[in-house]
Amino acid sequence: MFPYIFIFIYLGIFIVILVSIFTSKSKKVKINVEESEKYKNDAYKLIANNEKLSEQRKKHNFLSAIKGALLIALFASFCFLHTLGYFAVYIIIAFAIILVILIFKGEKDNVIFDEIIPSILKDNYKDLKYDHKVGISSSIYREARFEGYDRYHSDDYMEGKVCGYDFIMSEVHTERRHTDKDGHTHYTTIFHGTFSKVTLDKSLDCFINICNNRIKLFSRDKYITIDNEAFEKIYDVFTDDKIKAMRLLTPDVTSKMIDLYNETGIYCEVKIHNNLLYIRLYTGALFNFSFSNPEKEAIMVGKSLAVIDSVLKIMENFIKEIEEFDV
Amino acid sequence: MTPFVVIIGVIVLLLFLEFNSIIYLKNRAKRSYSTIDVFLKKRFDLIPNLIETIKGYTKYEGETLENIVKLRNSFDDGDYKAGEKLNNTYNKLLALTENYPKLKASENFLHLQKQLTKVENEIAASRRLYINDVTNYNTKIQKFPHMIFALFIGARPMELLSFATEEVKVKF
Repeated sequence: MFPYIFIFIYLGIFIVILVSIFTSKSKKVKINVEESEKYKNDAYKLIANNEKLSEQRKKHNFLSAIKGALLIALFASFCFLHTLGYFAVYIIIAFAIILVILIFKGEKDNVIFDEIIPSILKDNYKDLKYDHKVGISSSIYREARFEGYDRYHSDDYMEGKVCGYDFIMSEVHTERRHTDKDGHTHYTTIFHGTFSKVTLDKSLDCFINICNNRIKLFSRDKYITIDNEAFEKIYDVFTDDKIKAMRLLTPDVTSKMIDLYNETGIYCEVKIHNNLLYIRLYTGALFNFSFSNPEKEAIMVGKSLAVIDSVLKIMENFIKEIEEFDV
Repeated sequence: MTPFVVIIGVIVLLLFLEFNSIIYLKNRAKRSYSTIDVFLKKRFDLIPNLIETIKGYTKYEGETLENIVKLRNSFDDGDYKAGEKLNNTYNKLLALTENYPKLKASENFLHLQKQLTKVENEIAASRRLYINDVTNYNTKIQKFPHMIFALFIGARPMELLSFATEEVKVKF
């Protein structure tokens, strides 16, 4: 009777691990398909003809097969723990160590990030520099005065020009620390998406904050209602100069933000502090990539590039509005 | 006895919050109306400069200019009806400038035009702000169950802006 209970427990753990792997992959951002199609085709041409990537894919598949085999072996060893005795414990420990090493080692150097994405970005955006290993410093993110956090991570750094202004953009992940009753520390995500900053020549001499709906109890004097019902359902606007905010947030600007949400499902937050424009989009990981086949890999790259497109469009809209703005 | 006191306490607290909320929204709408007024005054403050600039280029609009000065003085003295007339005459005057190409090309006039465009945008923004605030207030006092308390304290719907004035498009 004893080993069967263990088998059920291990089976349960195994199922939980599998479910968590699949559910984490299903949390994808809904991106405009038409936009990503353009990039998908560009990416497919590069991906399909890249020998280095083909080798990396083979290596990845081989390692995945080993990981799978080790997982099954680990499970089997647990099942026969009572018959194999101490010998099984050694096998389990050895398998577990190899598995952990393989999982954590991962594939750090990836042709997709080193060659293919930079190449597509270079073809589509002039002067855009990309480095997937670097991010925006936390001090720049903090100066935008979004919410506080305990852990900060940033990568996929980009810099370039939009409407003649320098901008920086990168993926940012902020988390808050919690300690439970047993003293264990947990981290919960506050924001995971794309963050960008543009420094403009013109200063609006005010702050305007467009954010997702929130409680307005302590800042309702700075809150303004916008004459766009769809916009009001999703966003709140806080400002210290209501007239300037109303002038800037014309029906055209607000409907463009709503269009972005309707087409892509992406929430967009905008902060304007005098001459600084900060935009962050709830896109999740900017470049969601895992090895598969060239077709699927091209779709993944295409979607990520469509996100960059959306950020740049929003940036352009606001820059144009601010440029036309007579302070 | 104690539960009864707690229930009464909660009801009083809710009424207190409800009252404050209605008053807050009403005052917010009133403040937005004052903002429109501020920008209208700012617009009419450009009149002396505008008249000075126009005088040098036009000979036939003396009556219009005099009329504008009179209306502006009445508006400054608190005659808000004069404001409406002033608005119409002011718009007509700007339309008349179309007939004077030299005036349109003058640096002073171009500067005034720029200022005027800015004030017009500010007026439009303040009007939108007022309309939104009034809509919020009206929606609050007309919705159930807020309407019961609103009736009790005599809160009445506020009027949205009506643009009965003759709109003249100014082409720069």
